Amino acid sequence: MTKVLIIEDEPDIATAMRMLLDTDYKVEVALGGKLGLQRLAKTDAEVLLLDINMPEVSGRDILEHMRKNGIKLPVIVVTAVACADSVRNELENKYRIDGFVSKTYLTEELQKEVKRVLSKRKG
Amino acid sequence: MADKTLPVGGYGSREILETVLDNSPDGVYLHNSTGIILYTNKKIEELTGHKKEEMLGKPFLEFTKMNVLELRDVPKAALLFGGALLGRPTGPDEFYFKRPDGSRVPVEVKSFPIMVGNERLVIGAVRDLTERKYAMRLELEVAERLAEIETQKKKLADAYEGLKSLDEMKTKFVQDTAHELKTPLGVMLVAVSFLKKKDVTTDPARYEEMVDLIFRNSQRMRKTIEDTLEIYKIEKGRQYEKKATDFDEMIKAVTDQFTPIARQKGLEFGTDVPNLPEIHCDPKAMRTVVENLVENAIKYTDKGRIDVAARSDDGKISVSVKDTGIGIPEEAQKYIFGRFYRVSAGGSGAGIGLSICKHIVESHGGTIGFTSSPGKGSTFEFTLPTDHECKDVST
Repeated sequence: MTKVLIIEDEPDIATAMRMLLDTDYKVEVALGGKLGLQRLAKTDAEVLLLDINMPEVSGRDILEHMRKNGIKLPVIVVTAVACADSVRNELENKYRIDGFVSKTYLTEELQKEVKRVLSKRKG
Repeated sequence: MADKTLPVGGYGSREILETVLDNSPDGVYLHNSTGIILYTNKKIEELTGHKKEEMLGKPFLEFTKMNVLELRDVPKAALLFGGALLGRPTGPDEFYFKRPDGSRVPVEVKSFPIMVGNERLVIGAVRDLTERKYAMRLELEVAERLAEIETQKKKLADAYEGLKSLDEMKTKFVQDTAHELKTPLGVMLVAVSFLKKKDVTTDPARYEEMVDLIFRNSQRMRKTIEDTLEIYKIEKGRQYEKKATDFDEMIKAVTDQFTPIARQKGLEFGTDVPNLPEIHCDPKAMRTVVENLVENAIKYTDKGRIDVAARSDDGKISVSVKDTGIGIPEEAQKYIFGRFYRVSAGGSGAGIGLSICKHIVESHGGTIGFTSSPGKGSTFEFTLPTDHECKDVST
Protein backbone atom coordinates (compact mmCIF):
# COMPACT_ATOMS: atom_id res chain seq x y z
CA MET A 1 0.00 0.00 0.00
CA THR A 2 1.36 3.43 -0.95
CA LYS A 3 2.39 5.49 2.03
CA VAL A 4 1.44 9.15 2.60
CA LEU A 5 3.09 11.39 5.21
CA ILE A 6 1.09 14.25 6.73
CA ILE A 7 2.89 17.06 8.55
CA GLU A 8 0.21 19.17 10.21
CA ASP A 9 0.12 20.75 13.66
CA GLU A 10 -3.64 20.83 14.10
CA PRO A 11 -4.89 17.43 15.23
CA ASP A 12 -8.39 17.84 13.77
CA ILE A 13 -7.12 18.74 10.31
CA ALA A 14 -4.68 15.84 10.48
CA THR A 15 -7.56 13.53 11.49
CA ALA A 16 -9.75 14.81 8.65
CA MET A 17 -6.95 14.23 6.14
CA ARG A 18 -6.25 10.77 7.52
CA MET A 19 -9.96 9.87 7.25
CA LEU A 20 -10.04 10.96 3.62
CA LEU A 21 -6.98 8.90 2.70
CA ASP A 22 -6.72 5.85 4.95
CA THR A 23 -8.89 3.57 2.84
CA ASP A 24 -6.53 3.88 -0.15
CA TYR A 25 -3.18 4.67 1.47
CA LYS A 26 -1.12 3.95 4.52
CA VAL A 27 -1.20 7.27 6.37
CA GLU A 28 1.55 8.48 8.65
CA VAL A 29 0.94 11.68 10.69
CA ALA A 30 3.53 13.98 12.25
CA LEU A 31 1.80 16.55 14.47
CA GLY A 32 3.82 19.71 13.88
CA GLY A 33 6.97 20.75 12.04
CA LYS A 34 9.42 19.55 14.66
CA LEU A 35 8.10 15.96 14.59
CA GLY A 36 7.79 16.29 10.83
CA LEU A 37 11.52 16.88 10.43
CA GLN A 38 12.30 13.77 12.48
CA ARG A 39 9.83 11.69 10.47
CA LEU A 40 11.17 12.94 7.13
CA ALA A 41 14.58 11.46 7.90
CA LYS A 42 13.26 7.91 8.01
CA THR A 43 10.01 7.88 6.07
CA ASP A 44 9.35 5.66 3.10
CA ALA A 45 6.25 7.68 2.13
CA GLU A 46 5.78 8.46 -1.55
CA VAL A 47 4.06 11.82 -1.07
CA LEU A 48 4.12 14.49 1.63
CA LEU A 49 1.08 16.54 2.64
CA LEU A 50 2.46 19.67 4.28
CA ASP A 51 0.87 22.47 6.27
CA ILE A 52 2.53 25.89 5.96
CA ASN A 53 1.52 27.84 9.08
CA MET A 54 3.01 25.92 11.97
CA PRO A 55 4.71 27.27 15.09
CA GLU A 56 8.45 26.74 15.65
CA VAL A 57 9.18 24.75 12.48
CA SER A 58 6.96 25.99 9.65
CA GLY A 59 6.12 24.34 6.34
CA ARG A 60 8.57 26.70 4.63
CA ASP A 61 11.31 25.55 7.02
CA ILE A 62 10.56 21.96 6.02
CA LEU A 63 10.67 22.77 2.29
CA GLU A 64 13.97 24.57 2.83
CA HIS A 65 15.33 21.56 4.74
CA MET A 66 14.26 19.19 1.94
CA ARG A 67 15.88 21.39 -0.71
CA LYS A 68 19.16 21.68 1.19
CA ASN A 69 19.30 17.95 1.90
CA GLY A 70 18.17 16.84 -1.56
CA ILE A 71 15.03 15.06 -0.30
CA LYS A 72 13.06 14.44 -3.49
CA LEU A 73 9.68 13.48 -1.98
CA PRO A 74 6.72 15.04 -3.93
CA VAL A 75 5.00 17.71 -1.81
CA ILE A 76 1.36 18.76 -1.72
CA VAL A 77 0.89 21.91 0.34
CA VAL A 78 -2.35 21.93 2.35
CA THR A 79 -3.16 25.37 3.62
CA ALA A 80 -5.86 27.80 4.69
CA VAL A 81 -3.87 30.95 3.96
CA ALA A 82 -5.86 33.95 2.76
CA CYS A 83 -3.88 34.75 -0.41
CA ALA A 84 -3.75 31.18 -1.64
CA ASP A 85 -2.83 32.06 -5.25
CA SER A 86 0.18 34.18 -4.39
CA VAL A 87 1.41 31.67 -1.81
CA ARG A 88 0.95 28.85 -4.31
CA ASN A 89 2.91 30.75 -6.99
CA GLU A 90 5.64 31.61 -4.54
CA LEU A 91 6.02 28.00 -3.34
CA GLU A 92 5.85 26.59 -6.86
CA ASN A 93 8.58 28.95 -8.03
CA LYS A 94 10.79 28.62 -5.02
CA TYR A 95 10.42 24.97 -4.02
CA ARG A 96 8.83 23.34 -7.09
CA ILE A 97 6.00 21.92 -4.98
CA ASP A 98 3.86 19.35 -6.78
CA GLY A 99 0.37 20.16 -5.57
CA PHE A 100 -1.72 22.59 -3.58
CA VAL A 101 -4.96 22.00 -1.63
CA SER A 102 -7.08 24.49 0.29
CA LYS A 103 -8.17 23.33 3.73
CA THR A 104 -11.69 24.51 2.96
CA TYR A 105 -11.88 22.08 0.03
CA LEU A 106 -10.31 18.99 1.57
CA THR A 107 -13.30 16.81 0.72
CA GLU A 108 -13.32 17.81 -2.92
CA GLU A 109 -9.61 18.20 -3.61
CA LEU A 110 -7.38 16.15 -1.34
CA GLN A 111 -7.95 12.63 -2.72
CA LYS A 112 -7.84 13.86 -6.33
CA GLU A 113 -4.64 15.81 -5.77
CA VAL A 114 -2.85 12.89 -4.05
CA LYS A 115 -3.92 10.58 -6.88
CA ARG A 116 -2.77 13.07 -9.52
CA VAL A 117 0.64 13.64 -7.95
CA LEU A 118 1.28 9.93 -7.41
CA SER A 119 0.22 8.96 -10.96
CA LYS A 120 2.38 11.76 -12.39
CA ARG A 121 5.30 10.37 -10.46
CA LYS A 122 4.72 6.82 -11.55
CA GLY A 123 3.80 7.74 -15.11
CA MET B 1 35.09 121.58 -29.22
CA ALA B 2 31.38 121.53 -28.87
CA ASP B 3 30.16 120.22 -25.50
CA LYS B 4 27.67 117.48 -26.25
CA THR B 5 26.87 116.68 -22.59
CA LEU B 6 25.43 119.48 -20.46
CA PRO B 7 25.37 123.19 -20.99
CA VAL B 8 27.66 124.50 -18.29
CA GLY B 9 26.45 127.74 -16.83
CA GLY B 10 24.11 130.05 -18.53
CA TYR B 11 20.54 129.40 -19.52
CA GLY B 12 19.22 125.94 -19.10
CA SER B 13 21.82 124.26 -16.94
CA ARG B 14 19.91 124.57 -13.62
CA GLU B 15 16.58 123.60 -15.22
CA ILE B 16 18.12 120.53 -16.79
CA LEU B 17 19.74 119.44 -13.55
CA GLU B 18 16.55 120.02 -11.56
CA THR B 19 14.51 118.09 -14.13
CA VAL B 20 16.96 115.20 -13.92
CA LEU B 21 16.97 115.22 -10.11
CA ASP B 22 13.18 115.60 -9.87
CA ASN B 23 12.79 112.50 -11.98
CA SER B 24 15.19 110.48 -9.88
CA PRO B 25 13.53 107.47 -8.23
CA ASP B 26 15.38 108.39 -5.01
CA GLY B 27 14.99 111.45 -2.87
CA VAL B 28 17.99 113.80 -3.07
CA TYR B 29 18.86 116.60 -0.66
CA LEU B 30 21.78 118.93 -0.22
CA HIS B 31 22.85 120.80 2.87
CA ASN B 32 25.84 122.90 3.72
CA SER B 33 28.41 122.42 6.46
CA THR B 34 26.20 124.15 9.03
CA GLY B 35 23.28 121.89 8.15
CA ILE B 36 21.15 124.33 6.26
CA ILE B 37 19.11 122.60 3.58
CA LEU B 38 19.94 123.98 0.18
CA TYR B 39 18.06 121.66 -2.09
CA THR B 40 15.46 118.89 -2.07
CA ASN B 41 14.01 117.13 -5.12
CA LYS B 42 10.40 116.17 -5.76
CA LYS B 43 10.82 112.70 -4.36
CA ILE B 44 11.75 114.20 -0.97
CA GLU B 45 8.45 116.08 -1.07
CA GLU B 46 6.65 112.85 -1.79
CA LEU B 47 8.46 110.91 0.94
CA THR B 48 8.05 113.57 3.67
CA GLY B 49 4.71 114.97 2.59
CA HIS B 50 6.14 118.50 2.90
CA LYS B 51 6.70 121.08 0.18
CA LYS B 52 10.29 121.98 -0.55
CA GLU B 53 9.51 125.59 0.41
CA GLU B 54 8.89 124.35 3.96
CA MET B 55 12.37 122.79 4.06
CA LEU B 56 14.72 124.98 2.07
CA GLY B 57 16.89 127.37 4.08
CA LYS B 58 16.06 125.54 7.32
CA PRO B 59 18.49 123.48 9.42
CA PHE B 60 18.57 119.76 8.63
CA LEU B 61 17.17 118.88 12.01
CA GLU B 62 14.05 120.87 11.18
CA PHE B 63 12.80 117.49 10.03
CA THR B 64 12.50 116.64 13.70
CA LYS B 65 10.37 119.64 14.39
CA MET B 66 8.22 118.87 11.40
CA ASN B 67 7.62 115.46 12.92
CA VAL B 68 9.02 113.80 9.84
CA LEU B 69 11.18 111.58 12.02
CA GLU B 70 9.82 109.31 14.66
CA LEU B 71 11.00 110.19 18.14
CA ARG B 72 12.95 106.94 18.56
CA ASP B 73 14.84 107.69 15.32
CA VAL B 74 15.99 111.19 16.40
CA PRO B 75 19.24 110.07 18.13
CA LYS B 76 20.18 108.01 15.08
CA ALA B 77 19.42 110.97 12.79
CA ALA B 78 21.52 113.26 15.02
CA LEU B 79 24.47 110.89 14.74
CA LEU B 80 24.06 110.71 10.98
CA PHE B 81 23.86 114.45 10.75
CA GLY B 82 26.86 114.88 13.05
CA GLY B 83 28.88 112.48 10.91
CA ALA B 84 27.86 114.30 7.75
CA LEU B 85 28.83 117.68 9.21
CA LEU B 86 32.23 116.28 10.06
CA GLY B 87 32.61 115.33 6.42
CA ARG B 88 32.12 111.58 6.80
CA PRO B 89 30.03 109.47 4.46
CA THR B 90 27.07 108.00 6.39
CA GLY B 91 24.60 105.18 6.01
CA PRO B 92 22.85 103.36 4.75
CA ASP B 93 20.56 104.02 7.76
CA GLU B 94 16.95 103.01 7.91
CA PHE B 95 14.21 105.31 9.17
CA TYR B 96 10.50 105.71 8.98
CA PHE B 97 9.25 109.04 7.63
CA LYS B 98 5.94 110.21 8.98
CA ARG B 99 3.75 112.21 6.63
CA PRO B 100 1.24 114.83 7.80
CA ASP B 101 -1.58 112.53 6.61
CA GLY B 102 -0.39 109.93 9.16
CA SER B 103 1.08 107.45 6.67
CA ARG B 104 4.57 106.05 7.27
CA VAL B 105 7.25 105.38 4.70
CA PRO B 106 10.27 103.18 5.32
CA VAL B 107 13.40 104.82 3.90
CA GLU B 108 17.12 104.26 3.65
CA VAL B 109 19.38 107.33 3.91
CA LYS B 110 22.94 107.62 2.65
CA SER B 111 24.99 110.82 2.60
CA PHE B 112 28.48 111.83 1.60
CA PRO B 113 30.47 115.09 1.43
CA ILE B 114 31.20 116.88 -1.80
CA MET B 115 33.29 119.99 -2.49
CA VAL B 116 31.76 122.73 -4.55
CA GLY B 117 34.46 125.33 -5.02
CA ASN B 118 35.79 125.90 -1.55
CA GLU B 119 32.62 124.95 0.19
CA ARG B 120 32.01 121.53 1.60
CA LEU B 121 28.44 120.42 1.08
CA VAL B 122 26.67 117.20 1.97
CA ILE B 123 24.53 115.39 -0.55
CA GLY B 124 22.05 112.79 0.67
CA ALA B 125 20.07 110.12 -1.09
CA VAL B 126 16.82 108.79 0.40
CA ARG B 127 15.51 105.54 -1.03
CA ASP B 128 11.90 104.49 -0.62
CA LEU B 129 11.95 101.01 0.96
CA THR B 130 8.20 100.42 0.78
CA GLU B 131 8.47 97.89 -2.02
CA ARG B 132 11.57 96.26 -0.62
CA LYS B 133 9.95 95.97 2.82
CA TYR B 134 6.78 94.67 1.26
CA ALA B 135 8.78 92.10 -0.70
CA MET B 136 10.69 91.14 2.45
CA ARG B 137 7.48 90.83 4.43
CA LEU B 138 6.04 88.80 1.63
CA GLU B 139 9.12 86.60 1.56
CA LEU B 140 8.89 86.17 5.31
CA GLU B 141 5.20 85.33 5.09
CA VAL B 142 5.86 82.88 2.28
CA ALA B 143 8.65 81.28 4.34
CA GLU B 144 6.35 81.06 7.36
CA ARG B 145 3.56 79.60 5.25
CA LEU B 146 5.97 77.11 3.71
CA ALA B 147 7.19 76.08 7.14
CA GLU B 148 3.57 75.72 8.24
CA ILE B 149 2.77 73.67 5.14
CA GLU B 150 5.82 71.49 5.83
CA THR B 151 4.62 70.94 9.40
CA GLN B 152 1.12 70.10 8.17
CA LYS B 153 2.58 67.84 5.50
CA LYS B 154 4.59 66.00 8.13
CA LYS B 155 1.52 65.69 10.38
CA LEU B 156 -0.49 64.42 7.43
CA ALA B 157 2.25 61.95 6.48
CA ASP B 158 2.38 60.70 10.09
CA ALA B 159 -1.40 60.38 10.22
CA TYR B 160 -1.36 58.62 6.85
CA GLU B 161 1.30 56.19 8.06
CA GLY B 162 -0.72 55.53 11.22
CA LEU B 163 -3.90 54.93 9.23
CA LYS B 164 -2.06 52.82 6.67
CA SER B 165 -0.61 50.62 9.34
CA LEU B 166 -4.04 50.33 11.04
CA ASP B 167 -5.56 49.52 7.67
CA GLU B 168 -2.91 46.87 7.00
CA MET B 169 -3.55 45.41 10.44
CA LYS B 170 -7.28 45.35 9.78
CA THR B 171 -6.76 43.72 6.38
CA LYS B 172 -4.54 41.10 7.98
CA PHE B 173 -7.11 40.67 10.73
CA VAL B 174 -9.83 39.97 8.16
CA GLN B 175 -7.53 37.52 6.34
CA ASP B 176 -6.61 35.79 9.60
CA THR B 177 -10.25 35.61 10.63
CA ALA B 178 -11.10 34.02 7.28
CA HIS B 179 -8.22 31.58 7.86
CA GLU B 180 -9.57 30.83 11.34
CA LEU B 181 -12.97 30.01 9.88
CA LYS B 182 -11.74 28.07 6.86
CA THR B 183 -9.79 25.50 8.84
CA PRO B 184 -12.61 24.20 11.09
CA LEU B 185 -15.03 24.52 8.19
CA GLY B 186 -12.82 22.24 6.09
CA VAL B 187 -12.70 19.68 8.92
CA MET B 188 -16.47 19.79 9.41
CA LEU B 189 -17.10 19.33 5.69
CA VAL B 190 -14.91 16.23 5.71
CA ALA B 191 -16.80 14.81 8.70
CA VAL B 192 -20.20 15.65 7.20
CA SER B 193 -19.24 14.08 3.86
CA PHE B 194 -18.47 10.85 5.74
CA LEU B 195 -21.70 11.00 7.73
CA LYS B 196 -23.61 11.34 4.48
CA LYS B 197 -22.34 7.92 3.47
CA LYS B 198 -24.68 5.46 5.18
CA ASP B 199 -22.04 2.81 5.87
CA VAL B 200 -20.31 4.98 8.47
CA THR B 201 -23.02 4.17 11.01
CA THR B 202 -21.79 0.57 10.96
CA ASP B 203 -18.50 1.76 12.45
CA PRO B 204 -19.49 3.32 15.79
CA ALA B 205 -15.97 4.45 16.69
CA ARG B 206 -15.54 6.35 13.44
CA TYR B 207 -19.09 7.71 13.71
CA GLU B 208 -18.27 9.13 17.14
CA GLU B 209 -15.02 10.58 15.85
CA MET B 210 -16.95 12.43 13.12
CA VAL B 211 -19.50 13.82 15.54
CA ASP B 212 -16.72 14.93 17.89
CA LEU B 213 -14.93 16.67 15.02
CA ILE B 214 -18.08 18.53 14.02
CA PHE B 215 -18.85 19.53 17.59
CA ARG B 216 -15.34 20.74 18.42
CA ASN B 217 -14.86 22.61 15.18
CA SER B 218 -18.27 24.26 15.25
CA GLN B 219 -17.42 25.46 18.76
CA ARG B 220 -14.12 26.75 17.44
CA MET B 221 -15.90 28.64 14.67
CA ARG B 222 -18.35 30.08 17.16
CA LYS B 223 -15.48 31.28 19.34
CA THR B 224 -13.75 32.94 16.37
CA ILE B 225 -16.97 34.71 15.41
CA GLU B 226 -17.68 35.78 18.99
CA ASP B 227 -14.13 37.07 19.47
CA THR B 228 -14.29 38.96 16.18
CA LEU B 229 -17.60 40.56 17.15
CA GLU B 230 -16.17 41.36 20.58
CA ILE B 231 -13.30 43.24 18.93
CA TYR B 232 -15.88 45.12 16.87
CA LYS B 233 -17.86 45.99 20.04
CA ILE B 234 -14.67 47.19 21.75
CA GLU B 235 -13.93 49.40 18.74
CA LYS B 236 -17.42 50.89 19.08
CA GLY B 237 -17.00 51.55 22.82
CA ARG B 238 -17.93 48.37 24.70
CA GLN B 239 -19.74 48.74 28.04
CA TYR B 240 -19.58 46.13 30.82
CA GLU B 241 -22.29 45.10 33.27
CA LYS B 242 -20.54 44.94 36.62
CA LYS B 243 -21.81 43.23 39.72
CA ALA B 244 -20.42 41.55 42.84
CA THR B 245 -18.75 38.36 41.65
CA ASP B 246 -17.41 35.33 43.49
CA PHE B 247 -14.08 35.29 41.71
CA ASP B 248 -12.52 32.08 43.05
CA GLU B 249 -15.72 30.16 42.15
CA MET B 250 -15.48 31.50 38.64
CA ILE B 251 -11.80 30.53 38.28
CA LYS B 252 -12.55 27.05 39.61
CA ALA B 253 -15.37 26.63 37.08
CA VAL B 254 -12.93 27.49 34.28
CA THR B 255 -10.20 25.16 35.56
CA ASP B 256 -12.79 22.35 35.91
CA GLN B 257 -13.78 22.98 32.31
CA PHE B 258 -10.21 22.83 30.99
CA THR B 259 -8.56 20.19 33.20
CA PRO B 260 -9.83 17.27 31.10
CA ILE B 261 -8.75 18.98 27.87
CA ALA B 262 -5.24 19.51 29.24
CA ARG B 263 -5.02 15.93 30.52
CA GLN B 264 -6.21 14.63 27.15
CA LYS B 265 -3.15 16.36 25.70
CA GLY B 266 -0.97 14.67 28.32
CA LEU B 267 -0.43 17.83 30.36
CA GLU B 268 -0.44 18.19 34.12
CA PHE B 269 -2.94 20.77 35.32
CA GLY B 270 -2.39 22.42 38.70
CA THR B 271 -4.61 24.94 40.49
CA ASP B 272 -3.87 26.99 43.57
CA VAL B 273 -6.88 29.22 44.12
CA PRO B 274 -7.70 30.30 47.71
CA ASN B 275 -10.88 32.09 48.77
CA LEU B 276 -10.85 35.55 47.21
CA PRO B 277 -12.84 38.66 48.11
CA GLU B 278 -15.84 39.45 45.93
CA ILE B 279 -14.93 41.57 42.96
CA HIS B 280 -17.17 44.16 41.35
CA CYS B 281 -16.92 43.13 37.71
CA ASP B 282 -18.68 41.82 34.64
CA PRO B 283 -18.63 38.08 35.45
CA LYS B 284 -19.10 36.93 31.86
CA ALA B 285 -16.31 39.17 30.58
CA MET B 286 -13.97 38.13 33.39
CA ARG B 287 -14.65 34.48 32.71
CA THR B 288 -13.68 35.15 29.09
CA VAL B 289 -10.33 36.51 30.31
CA VAL B 290 -9.54 33.43 32.41
CA GLU B 291 -10.80 31.07 29.68
CA ASN B 292 -8.68 32.75 27.02
CA LEU B 293 -5.51 32.59 29.12
CA VAL B 294 -6.02 28.93 30.05
CA GLU B 295 -7.02 27.96 26.51
CA ASN B 296 -3.94 29.64 25.03
CA ALA B 297 -1.71 27.96 27.60
CA ILE B 298 -3.04 24.52 26.66
CA LYS B 299 -2.92 25.28 22.94
CA TYR B 300 0.74 26.28 23.00
CA THR B 301 1.99 23.61 25.36
CA ASP B 302 2.82 20.15 24.05
CA LYS B 303 4.45 18.75 27.15
CA GLY B 304 4.79 19.69 30.80
CA ARG B 305 2.17 21.50 32.81
CA ILE B 306 -0.26 24.36 33.20
CA ASP B 307 -0.62 26.07 36.57
CA VAL B 308 -3.43 28.44 37.46
CA ALA B 309 -2.87 30.38 40.67
CA ALA B 310 -4.59 33.27 42.42
CA ARG B 311 -3.86 35.39 45.46
CA SER B 312 -5.25 38.38 47.23
CA ASP B 313 -3.17 41.06 48.87
CA ASP B 314 -2.75 44.79 49.17
CA GLY B 315 -6.23 45.70 47.92
CA LYS B 316 -5.98 43.64 44.78
CA ILE B 317 -6.25 40.10 43.50
CA SER B 318 -3.81 38.54 41.05
CA VAL B 319 -4.49 35.59 38.79
CA SER B 320 -1.69 33.87 36.89
CA VAL B 321 -1.64 31.16 34.23
CA LYS B 322 1.75 29.54 33.75
CA ASP B 323 2.69 27.05 31.06
CA THR B 324 5.74 25.12 29.88
CA GLY B 325 4.88 25.68 26.22
CA ILE B 326 6.60 27.12 23.17
CA GLY B 327 6.64 30.67 24.53
CA ILE B 328 6.11 33.82 22.49
CA PRO B 329 8.65 34.73 19.80
CA GLU B 330 10.56 37.82 20.85
CA GLU B 331 9.55 39.77 17.75
CA ALA B 332 5.87 39.11 18.53
CA GLN B 333 6.01 40.07 22.21
CA LYS B 334 5.40 43.79 21.80
CA TYR B 335 2.35 43.23 19.59
CA ILE B 336 0.75 40.47 21.59
CA PHE B 337 -2.00 42.66 23.09
CA GLY B 338 -2.58 44.64 19.86
CA ARG B 339 -6.21 45.05 18.85
CA PHE B 340 -5.88 43.42 15.45
CA TYR B 341 -2.91 41.22 16.10
CA ARG B 342 -2.72 37.44 16.09
CA VAL B 343 0.45 35.49 16.55
CA SER B 344 0.67 33.83 13.17
CA ALA B 345 1.88 30.44 14.16
CA GLY B 346 -0.87 28.11 13.17
CA GLY B 347 -3.13 27.03 15.96
CA SER B 348 -6.56 28.54 16.25
CA GLY B 349 -7.64 32.01 17.27
CA ALA B 350 -4.26 32.79 18.75
CA GLY B 351 -3.66 36.29 19.98
CA ILE B 352 -7.03 37.84 19.23
CA GLY B 353 -8.29 36.79 22.67
CA LEU B 354 -5.43 38.61 24.34
CA SER B 355 -6.43 42.05 23.07
CA ILE B 356 -9.93 41.34 24.34
CA CYS B 357 -8.49 40.25 27.72
CA LYS B 358 -6.46 43.44 27.97
CA HIS B 359 -9.48 45.60 27.23
CA ILE B 360 -11.67 43.80 29.75
CA VAL B 361 -9.07 43.88 32.54
CA GLU B 362 -8.20 47.54 31.98
CA SER B 363 -11.88 48.49 31.83
CA HIS B 364 -12.12 47.08 35.36
CA GLY B 365 -9.20 49.17 36.61
CA GLY B 366 -6.74 46.26 36.43
CA THR B 367 -3.52 45.44 34.63
CA ILE B 368 -2.38 42.49 32.54
CA GLY B 369 1.10 41.38 31.51
CA PHE B 370 3.29 38.40 30.76
CA THR B 371 6.75 36.96 30.89
CA SER B 372 7.84 34.51 28.25
CA SER B 373 10.93 32.57 27.20
CA PRO B 374 10.69 31.12 23.71
CA GLY B 375 10.99 27.34 23.99
CA LYS B 376 10.46 27.33 27.76
CA GLY B 377 7.00 28.75 28.41
CA SER B 378 4.96 31.79 29.33
CA THR B 379 3.22 33.20 32.39
CA PHE B 380 0.30 35.56 31.98
CA GLU B 381 -0.90 37.45 35.02
CA PHE B 382 -3.65 39.97 35.59
CA THR B 383 -4.57 41.97 38.67
CA LEU B 384 -7.83 43.64 39.67
CA PRO B 385 -8.48 46.08 42.50
CA THR B 386 -10.71 44.66 45.27
CA ASP B 387 -11.96 48.05 46.44
CA HIS B 388 -14.40 48.55 43.57
CA GLU B 389 -17.88 49.60 44.65
CA CYS B 390 -20.11 46.52 44.88
CA LYS B 391 -23.41 48.34 45.54
CA ASP B 392 -24.82 49.13 42.13
CA VAL B 393 -24.84 47.50 38.77
CA SER B 394 -23.12 50.09 36.66
CA THR B 395 -22.12 49.89 33.06
